[in-house]
Amino acid sequence: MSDGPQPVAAADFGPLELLVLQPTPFCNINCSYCYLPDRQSRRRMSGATLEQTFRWVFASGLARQPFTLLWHAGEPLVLPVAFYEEATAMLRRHNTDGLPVKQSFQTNAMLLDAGWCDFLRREDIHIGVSVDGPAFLHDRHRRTRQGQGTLDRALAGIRLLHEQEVPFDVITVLTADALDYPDELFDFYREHNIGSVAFNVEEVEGPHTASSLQQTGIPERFRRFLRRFLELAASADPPLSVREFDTSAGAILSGQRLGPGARTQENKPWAIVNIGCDGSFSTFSPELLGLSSPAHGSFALGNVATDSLEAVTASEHFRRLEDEIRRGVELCRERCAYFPFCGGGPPANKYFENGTFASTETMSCRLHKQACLDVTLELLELGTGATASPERTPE
Amino acid sequence: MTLLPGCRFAVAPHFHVPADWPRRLRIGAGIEEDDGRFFPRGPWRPLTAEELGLLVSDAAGLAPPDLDATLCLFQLPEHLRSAWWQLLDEAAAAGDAGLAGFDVFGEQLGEFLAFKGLPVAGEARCDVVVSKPGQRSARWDPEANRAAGMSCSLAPWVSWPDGASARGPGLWGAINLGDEETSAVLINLPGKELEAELRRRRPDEPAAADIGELAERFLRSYPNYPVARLLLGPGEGYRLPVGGLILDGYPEGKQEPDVLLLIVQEEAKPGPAS
Repeated sequence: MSDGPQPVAAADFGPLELLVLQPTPFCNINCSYCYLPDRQSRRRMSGATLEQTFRWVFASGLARQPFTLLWHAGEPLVLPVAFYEEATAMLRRHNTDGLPVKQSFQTNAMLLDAGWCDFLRREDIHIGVSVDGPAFLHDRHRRTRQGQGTLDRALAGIRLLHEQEVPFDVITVLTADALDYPDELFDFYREHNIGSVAFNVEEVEGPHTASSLQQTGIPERFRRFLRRFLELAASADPPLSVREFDTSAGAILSGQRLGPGARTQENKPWAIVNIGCDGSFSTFSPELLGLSSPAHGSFALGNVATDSLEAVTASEHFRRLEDEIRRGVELCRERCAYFPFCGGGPPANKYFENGTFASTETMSCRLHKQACLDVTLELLELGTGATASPERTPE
Repeated sequence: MTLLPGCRFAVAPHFHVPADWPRRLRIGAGIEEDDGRFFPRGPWRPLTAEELGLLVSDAAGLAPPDLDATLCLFQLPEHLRSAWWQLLDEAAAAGDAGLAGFDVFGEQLGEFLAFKGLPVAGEARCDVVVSKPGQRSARWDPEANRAAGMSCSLAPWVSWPDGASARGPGLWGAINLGDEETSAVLINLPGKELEAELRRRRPDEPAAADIGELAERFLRSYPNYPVARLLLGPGEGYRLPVGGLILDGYPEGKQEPDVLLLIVQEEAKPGPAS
């Protein structure tokens, strides 16, 4: 019997849960922790590629249930509203079964104006704003290419969203510096009427090869931070919704545990489809798009203009990638006590931290999964913040 | 008389407070005695570069014991300051002379300070002192019904020098709860330096028995010693160094009543020797 990659059964594909489209790799700012390698490139997705993208997605058979379309992997608001109006019309034309598709933008909010707000409200588009807290935290990492802080312009965007009554969530990247400032972050969110927050950790990914969170003593500092922040969030009136608590509490309270063979959105083939501005596509972690490795070559598996899902999934390229990721999930299942609540760590983190997808624990696991689950459990047992919000946006 | 090396000021680690020391610090002309009480004497002037060098420390990397010997500036988060004013509003609405929830507020404050690495060890209490704008002192002598003036932050009965080697009974620190800037005025010299100066001037005088006596001797003996004035913005506070300092609150020049939260470490006063 061969030890090589095993064929992947068609039933293992999808269904599509998250479609990540890169309208442009360009970003108008230059965050110190960014993993996007081409963020200075002003390429943009052409109308023809957009058309091919939607044709490919709906022809693939992956779109079998409602899914989220996330415009990301660059600053999406760099392109004009007209681009997205055309894209929305195209999406409707190709979505002949009328599947509910929730559009979402992850943005730094600096380019928002009344026209954008009108479009977002009209199309009921979800907005995630990237903001890292008070200026002494935000402006340390989120700067222009000239080195200027960007908080003032991000807050102008947030004010506009409030004025125009466009609901939004916030994603904050936690660096080591931020772990000393839960109260200051809490005050910041309250001051700016931010009701829903998600914390990402500064990850080691792609060109961002080192994280401030790799220092000694970080796991305990992270737990102290999280404990204090969640206590503050739960005691606020109205409570501040925190994705890390909600998802962890959901996993703990639902009673559903992930067993053998279980996979999550990020490590299940084709639950996520990532499509670059040139039509190249990948699956698994969105951060893999546009990157490559000595072992696998480009993580892009094909192009919507030329490659069908069937052809790509039959390729050695995909099968080797899927096999390595599957082995990594199995290792997680065998070795990690948190697996029933987690389902295996994000492949991109495994690859960039451990050098292979066939590996287990990462810094991201220790902080973003294990610490969040442990602290949430502590707080649930203490009766703090026992009401979790089950509906959360993608991480 | 010139400023002598002594206690330094720094922004406490794990806090983000714009230090702006040249704006925040002033130097007075000396000390004025009024009927056995001591008050700072103006005019107030900016510090010279040399004086700034003597008074200000870079907190980055400061750790005990240096940190314990430093006056640490910190900032109360807005949610805690709001909680204080909400307590007052609720008490006013209820016509309540007491302040329901103040104990909980004190616990929350203690948890915050502990998280930030400024724990208040042992038994402590919070007092809120409200002073009239323009008052010469934030300390009030209720028996004499007059401003009490500058004194040592440690309880005056603490024995010298043994009792001043640890944090203890007396003022731990203070926080400006108001919306307007206020000031603290202080002598930057810890007990050992006070004693050394007194010995230089009066080598034959017997040592002070307690902190209160040591402080009073110095204030009386050095009326021209420059008093440092530390401006505190809304929500800003300070933690005093181990061994304490001679100080007072200073609501001079204010438009609104001064609202100062004092964090006081407690210890049972020893009874008379049997």
